[in-house]
Amino acid sequence: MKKIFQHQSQTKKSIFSKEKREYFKKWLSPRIKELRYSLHLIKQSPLAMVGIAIILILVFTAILAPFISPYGPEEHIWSESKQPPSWKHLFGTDETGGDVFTKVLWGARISIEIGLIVVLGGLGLGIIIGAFAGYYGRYIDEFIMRITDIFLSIPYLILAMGVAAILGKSIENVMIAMIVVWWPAYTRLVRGQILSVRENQYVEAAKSVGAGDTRIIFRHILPNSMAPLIVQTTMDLGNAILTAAGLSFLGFGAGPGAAEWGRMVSDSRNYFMSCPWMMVFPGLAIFITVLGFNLVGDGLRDILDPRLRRGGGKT
Amino acid sequence: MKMYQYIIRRLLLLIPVLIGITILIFLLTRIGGDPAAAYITPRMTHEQIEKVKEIHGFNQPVYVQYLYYMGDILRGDWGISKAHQDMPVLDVIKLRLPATIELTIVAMLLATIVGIPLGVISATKKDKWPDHATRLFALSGVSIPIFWLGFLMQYIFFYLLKINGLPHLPLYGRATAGMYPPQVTGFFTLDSIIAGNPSMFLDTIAHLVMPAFCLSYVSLAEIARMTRSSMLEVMGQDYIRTARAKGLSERKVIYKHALRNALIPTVTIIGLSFGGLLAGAVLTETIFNWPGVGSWAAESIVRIDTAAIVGFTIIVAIMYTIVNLIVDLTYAYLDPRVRLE
Repeated sequence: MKKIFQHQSQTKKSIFSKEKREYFKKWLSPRIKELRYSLHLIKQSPLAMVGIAIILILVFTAILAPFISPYGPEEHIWSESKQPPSWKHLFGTDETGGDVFTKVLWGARISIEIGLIVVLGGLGLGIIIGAFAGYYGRYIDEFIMRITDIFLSIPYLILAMGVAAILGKSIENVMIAMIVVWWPAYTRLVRGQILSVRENQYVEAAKSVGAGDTRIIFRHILPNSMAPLIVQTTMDLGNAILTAAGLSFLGFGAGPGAAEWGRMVSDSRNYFMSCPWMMVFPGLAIFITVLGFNLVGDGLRDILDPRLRRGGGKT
Repeated sequence: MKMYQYIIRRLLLLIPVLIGITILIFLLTRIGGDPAAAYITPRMTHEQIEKVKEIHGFNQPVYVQYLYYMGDILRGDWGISKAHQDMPVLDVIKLRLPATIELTIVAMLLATIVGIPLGVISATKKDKWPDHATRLFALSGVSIPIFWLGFLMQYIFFYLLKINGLPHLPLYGRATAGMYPPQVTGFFTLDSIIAGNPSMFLDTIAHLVMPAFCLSYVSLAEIARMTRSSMLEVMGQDYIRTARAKGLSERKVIYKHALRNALIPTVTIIGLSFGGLLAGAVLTETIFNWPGVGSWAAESIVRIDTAAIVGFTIIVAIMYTIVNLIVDLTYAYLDPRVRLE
């Protein structure tokens, strides 16, 4: 036993040998510098900072929802239905006596989940297919681009509606439908980036030392085409949340009474004249969340665009 | 390339895209559920159902089914809509499309007429308060859920004004009951003008205000943003400096020299936003009980009326493709360099 431990500690030592540490430091330091500079630039854009604050609050709300919400998301106090906002019910109650504040807090979870899954799913597919098309070019590229043309020639909410209608009503199906709609835009973006990056000398150099295609794509080309992808992803997180809310407003996704923002606005349809709080707060949550992502996306675009960077990132 | 050559080229390129759209929609209908459901009503006997399946080729292999499907589409047999009293899908579209087109066109005009000047003001007053206000307004436009905006507007401009005894906008619908103009074009605004009835015209306009603004807000924001950024780019060009140097008034420099060149990218955005308007129409029409194809599509979702949803998707895709073609042609006309590519 002792021997094994000794052996392990030795290997551990060798992983963090001096050369390795030096190499890691060398690898890390320009990246940290870059990150620091980006943070410095982002700090100069007050609107982007507001956006970051909104997103942070949203994430914390989603994580802490079970601990900070005063009631359960499916708890109904029937004797207290349609109550206006008060200290007991900060955002009032709905027609079944559900606490609107609690449901809005829990709604953050679903929204973030949908946003992340849809955007990462679309991005993942887009990167793989787009890299394939852009790197190999010719017939493959032409074929894939025509397919994206077809997907992009149908307005995305409507295509998502069609796909979700065929798959059936559930949150999972809404996410699948949205990924089906989302990937073509990323594919085109990645492909365009790869086409322009592919011609750089360092790609040529990597090829000449015998690097494989996968290595060139994932180690050399993709990291250098990240900037527009990051901007697009940030903005799309907001867009995905907005579209998902629209779809669940139309009746896809979560069923009646669920703690989902779009559904909550939809459920308030018959009551919002006399009980406006049922409609105002969940809608406001969607609005502020999407605004947050758009503010950050706008700020990031200004920072990551080298042409605007010379101006000090101030917009 | 001459303009007519360019038009022909673009029209030819349209064919594979349209075929592709039908393949995509065909595959979707075959993946989920029974495609025969689009042609079957509950009153049919077993024999009748079998006959329907045979006529539309549902017993054939998939690639043969596609040919049957295309035949049905081209013949105008798009199935029946359960959400609309079992009426043929194409008849429902004919009946309800004018309402959607009227709403969409008014929204688009509103977005263009308000969006472009906002963008210009924002660019000419860069980093001053009108610029900040416009940018915030534009960012709100792309962030706001339009169904929520619709409810807010109904609450404020109908309910709050009404309970305070003030003149208010109508809550929903295309016109007050009994004020429907005799049908000529299907566009109530035009029909009421043709009927020569000013009160009818004002009534339809009053009904259009809320849905049209609600629908146009996103596009308005996008147009304002695009105009701003392309104006800023153009304002830095040499020919603007030349125009200023030769002593033209600022007004002339902005509207005659800068705006005309800045509008080219804006045209594209206007075209692209048309797709957003069609999608937004589904939500807006649902909120304002607007009897167009959008509210029909939304109801079809609730009633699981696949034939209607598919029909709606096809008609929207065709409209969107045609509008994009028009935009591309306009673009090529405005900027001859496009044709050379």
